[in-house]
Amino acid sequence: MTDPTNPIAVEGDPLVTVTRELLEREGAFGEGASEVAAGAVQASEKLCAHLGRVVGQLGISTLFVRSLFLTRARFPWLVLDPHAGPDGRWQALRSCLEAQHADVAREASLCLVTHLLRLIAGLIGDALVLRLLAEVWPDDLPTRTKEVTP
Amino acid sequence: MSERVQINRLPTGVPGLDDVLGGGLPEFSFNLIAGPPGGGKTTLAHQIMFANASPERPALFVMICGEPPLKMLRYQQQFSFFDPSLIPSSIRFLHLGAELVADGLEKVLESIIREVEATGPRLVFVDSFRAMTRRAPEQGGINLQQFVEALSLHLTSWEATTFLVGEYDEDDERNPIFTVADGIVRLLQTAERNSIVRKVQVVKMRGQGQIPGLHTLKISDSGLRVYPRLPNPDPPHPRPAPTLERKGTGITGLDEMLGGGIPAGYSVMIVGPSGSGKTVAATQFIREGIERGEPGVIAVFEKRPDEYLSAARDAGLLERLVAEGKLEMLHLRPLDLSVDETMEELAAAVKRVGAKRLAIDSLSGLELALAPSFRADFRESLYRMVGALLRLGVTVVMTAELVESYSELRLSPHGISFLTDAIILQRYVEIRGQLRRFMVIAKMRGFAHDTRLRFYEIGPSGLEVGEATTEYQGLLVGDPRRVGDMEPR
Repeated sequence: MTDPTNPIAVEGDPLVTVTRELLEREGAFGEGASEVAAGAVQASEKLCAHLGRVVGQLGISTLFVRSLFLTRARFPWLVLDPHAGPDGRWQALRSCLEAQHADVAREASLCLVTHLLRLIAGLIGDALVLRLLAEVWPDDLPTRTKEVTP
Repeated sequence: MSERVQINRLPTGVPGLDDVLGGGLPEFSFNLIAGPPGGGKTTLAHQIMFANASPERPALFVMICGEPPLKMLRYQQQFSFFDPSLIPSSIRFLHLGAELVADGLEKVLESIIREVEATGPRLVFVDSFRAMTRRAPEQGGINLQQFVEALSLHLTSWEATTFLVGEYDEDDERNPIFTVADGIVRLLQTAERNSIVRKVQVVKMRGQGQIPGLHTLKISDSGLRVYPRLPNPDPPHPRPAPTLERKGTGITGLDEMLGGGIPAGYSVMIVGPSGSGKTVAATQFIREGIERGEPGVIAVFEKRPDEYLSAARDAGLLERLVAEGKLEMLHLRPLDLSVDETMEELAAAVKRVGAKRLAIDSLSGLELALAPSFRADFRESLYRMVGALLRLGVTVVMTAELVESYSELRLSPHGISFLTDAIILQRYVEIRGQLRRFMVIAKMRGFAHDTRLRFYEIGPSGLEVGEATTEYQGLLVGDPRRVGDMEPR
C-alpha cells in the first residue's frame, strides 16, 4: 500500500522521475545542505513562476501551501509562514532546508516538489503537467529516467 | 492579379457552425463570443483553438479572472477535442491575475501585447473579457473603448485572429466592444419545464453572409455541435420533380387504391387512431422497398429500436436487414430535441445507408420528444423538415395518431395535412357489433386515386386491404347504415 506521506516511494511514477531530474538540474542534489537548499528553492521558484502563468498565481500559491502541509507529515520542521509573500516564502524554505543534514534536506525537497506536481497533476492530468514542465526544462525532461540517489 | 482581397476563412471545428457563419471565421478578424454562464463560451473558444492551432499557427489563451484556470483546464480536458500534445508547442496558456487587472486596463493591454510580440500567436483568446468591462474608466489612464480599439488594432496588425470571451447580454450592445468587433457569436440558454435548450446566433460577421436566426446547439463529450436552422423549402434547392415511378407499399390492395403505389419523391401521412395499423403499414412500406433493392430508414420516437424490432411482426427479418446494412433504425433522444437536430440525424442516416425510403413513426412521438419551446413552432418546423427530406430524394411515409372524432372530418393532428402530398386515413367502425377497420385515400396531390372507403385486416403478413365499403354509408361519422336502409345496422 502506498504511503500517502511519502509520494516519492511510488515505483516508476513519472512525476517522481521528473522531480528528481529537475531538482538535480537546479543543483539540489549537491553535497552540502546549503547547495541542496539553493537548488530546491531555485527549482520551486521556477516551477511556481511558470505554472503560475498558466494556472494563476493564486492557484499555484495555494497548491504550494498544501504541498508544504503534506510534506510536514514526514518533515515536521518544514514550517513556513503561509502568508509570507513569494520572496519571504523562498527565503524561509531555504533557511529550513539549510538547517538540516544534506540527505534529509534532499529528501524533503524531493517530497515537497513531488507533492506539488502530484497535486497539480491530480487536477489537470500528468500529461499536461509534463508538457508544461517541458517549457521550463525543455531537454526531454519527462522521458529521462536516470537513477538519482537522494 | 485579383482586385479584391481574398479573406482566408478558418474552420471553427464545430460541426454546423461554419455553415451558419457563412463559411468559417475570417482570418485576422476580431471577434466576440458572448453568452450567459454555462452557455458554452469557453468550450467554443477551446474548440476553435484546438481545431486551428499548429506550430505554424500558434495560439495564445489568455485567462483573466473569471473561472480559475486550474478548474478550466481540468474540465476542458474532458472534451475529446482537447489534445494535450498541442501544448505548449502550438497552444500556450497565460493567466493574468486579478492584481494586474486592478492596476488598470493599460497594464493588461501591455501584458497582452508583450506576450503577443514575444510569441507571435496567430490566434488569441481572452477569457473572460467581462472582468475588464465592468471597471470604471481609469483616472488618467485609457478607457475601455481606447483599450478595445488598441487591442484590436494591435492584434490585427500582428495578423492574429482574436476572440474575446465574456458574459454579455443584449443590454451591453452599446458597449464599444460590440462596435469594434468584426464578428459576434452569441450563445443562449433557456430552461423550460424540465428541458434546457441551447441556441447560437451569429449576430454579426463582417464581409460574409451568415445564416440569420437562432440555431440549435448541443454540448456533448465531443464539444459543441450546431444544427443550422432548416432553410425554407423554396429555391435555390427545389425538391426533385415527381416522376412517374411508383413505390410499391407491400400492402395488398393499397397500391391499387393509390393508382399503382406511392409516387416517388412523395410525402405520405398515414393517420389513424391507436391500434389501427399505422406502424405496420409504415414498416411494410420500408420492407417492400428493401426487397426491391431500396435501402430504408425507420425513425422511431415512441419506442427504442430494440423494442420496436421485438414488437414487429417480422422481427427476425427486420433485424437481419439491419445487420445487412439495408435498414437503419434511428432512435433520437427524447425530451429536448429540436426539429433541426432531428433533420440532421435523419439526413445522416439516409446518406449512410443510401436510403430511398424513409418512415417517421410517429409525428406524435416526435412532437413529444421535442423540447417544449420547439413544440410551439412544430407545424412550421415540420413544414421545413419535410421539404428538406424530400430534397434528399427519399419517399417519406409518416404516421400520426388522430383521436377519433365523429362530429367532424379531421385529416391530421395540428393542422399539418397541408404539408404532405398524400394522406391515408385509417378509422374504426362498429358494424353488426364488430369492430372493423377501414381506410381511405383522403388526399393525393396531382394524381387520380381510389376515393372509396375500403375495409382492411391486419393479418400475419401485415395489412391486407379488402372490399370497398360501398354497402354502407355514414362510416366516417360513426353512423354506419346499409345503403337503402333507414335503420342503423
